Amino acid sequence: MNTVSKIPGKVIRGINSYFFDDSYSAHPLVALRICTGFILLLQFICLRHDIMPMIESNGILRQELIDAQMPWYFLSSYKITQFLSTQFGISELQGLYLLAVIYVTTILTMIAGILTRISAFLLWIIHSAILVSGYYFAYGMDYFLTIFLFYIIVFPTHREYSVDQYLFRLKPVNYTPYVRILQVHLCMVYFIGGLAKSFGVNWWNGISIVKAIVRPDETFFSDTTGLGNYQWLFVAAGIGTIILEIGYPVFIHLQKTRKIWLALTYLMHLSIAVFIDLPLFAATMVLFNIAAFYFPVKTTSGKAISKQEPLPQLQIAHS
Amino acid sequence: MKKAIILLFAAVQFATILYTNIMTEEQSITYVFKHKKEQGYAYKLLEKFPNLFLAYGIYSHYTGTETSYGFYAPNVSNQVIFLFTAKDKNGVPIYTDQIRAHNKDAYIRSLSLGNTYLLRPKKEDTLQNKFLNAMVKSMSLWVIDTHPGTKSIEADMMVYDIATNFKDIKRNKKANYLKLEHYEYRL
Repeated sequence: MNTVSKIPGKVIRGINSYFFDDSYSAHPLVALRICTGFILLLQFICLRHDIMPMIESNGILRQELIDAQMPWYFLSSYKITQFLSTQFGISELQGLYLLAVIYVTTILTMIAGILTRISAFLLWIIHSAILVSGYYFAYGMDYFLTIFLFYIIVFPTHREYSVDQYLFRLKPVNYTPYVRILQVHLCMVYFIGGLAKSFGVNWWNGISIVKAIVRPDETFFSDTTGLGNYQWLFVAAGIGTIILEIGYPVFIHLQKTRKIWLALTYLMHLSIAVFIDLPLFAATMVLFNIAAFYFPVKTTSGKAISKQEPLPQLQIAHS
Repeated sequence: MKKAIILLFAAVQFATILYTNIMTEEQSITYVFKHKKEQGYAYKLLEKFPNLFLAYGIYSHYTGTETSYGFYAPNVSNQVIFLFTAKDKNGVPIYTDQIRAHNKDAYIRSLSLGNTYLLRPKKEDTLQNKFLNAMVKSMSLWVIDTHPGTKSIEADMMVYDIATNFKDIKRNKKANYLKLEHYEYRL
């Protein structure tokens, strides 16, 4: 009875320690801010010739059609340009160019950490609006970038390695709760992904890997010729993906397996970049891993804990 | 107080992620194993509370938590593509191709449009079907706009059919395109 009554207290102390012990430096959040900016910039450069037909009113999909499908609270770039047109007499094309200029400018100011939260907020609004107009052209990466931008607004990513730090004389804070949110979020991403895959028979017999890498004009292989000799490899890759993803929340938290699990996860995303031809998606996921788990826990003196060093006394006392 | 706000934010964020994934995976697993395209219990339960449903919709959209993480799951689907044939006034083809892009990432995005048609309902008169047909018409209009001289256009929706077992893969069974639908429009 006495033991049972102690459980809530232990849980609360555990949550408190997990989220609020001052374990992480600003590096994970700074990496998130700066690398998200570079990925967005790279994506903008890649799509600069093709984005217009995806989002303009007379593009591949007529925007009236998309607009009719979307809930009222979805802000689209079409709605923004319509507003600019009625209020200021700006043509749709001028409106879209204006959005592009603000988009690129705010990416650069976010990277430099100039009025970071305002920059990230504008960027987030425009990114979400473009995502709605180009809804049928979007894929997973775009949603992860929306999440990152949202985190950059909410989390103190601007307190170090930024112009804001000098402008507003910002002091470091306890970054651990925010890094922990990234960690739990990423564990959910992989666990759910692995669990969903485990229901599909084709992930166990290797066929899903074949189907993922064989797509016309799109991937490394455009047909299955010669792939039959490597059945064992596809079966191993399919089962390996399920194990890697379902096991991620456990093995990434164990000190002994963290490095190997991170390395295997990078390898999986590198394979996605090469064989499924989704380098930007791969970069986005690698960034998520880096921000969440790459940076080591710091010691009480502020130094990172290396493998050889014992845990400091204060941390042992906490746990 | 600050700690409570952070924990509340974390709880809302994780609950949203979890519920989005339960809703989506329930639907996709039902589709794969029962061949029924319908919203699952989790979605219907949330729908019973209109204010919560609205709050969930707004929050999940703007925080990017509206997408599920079952990428390529439970199974990887076949690729659906659209092949457009634009013809001049004499019926001579002046363009036969998919919608192309300058960059691979943009091309993959244009292909993800085709995947919308994988979960197409079988009943012809549904609102969703009418919308999907309107999308094909819109794509065809865009091909007409970008190819001057076009007087008629044909759109073929095709699925890239590759071998789905290693016996056939070892025999080097050739992949081919299966035509699912055919559309024609004239100016």
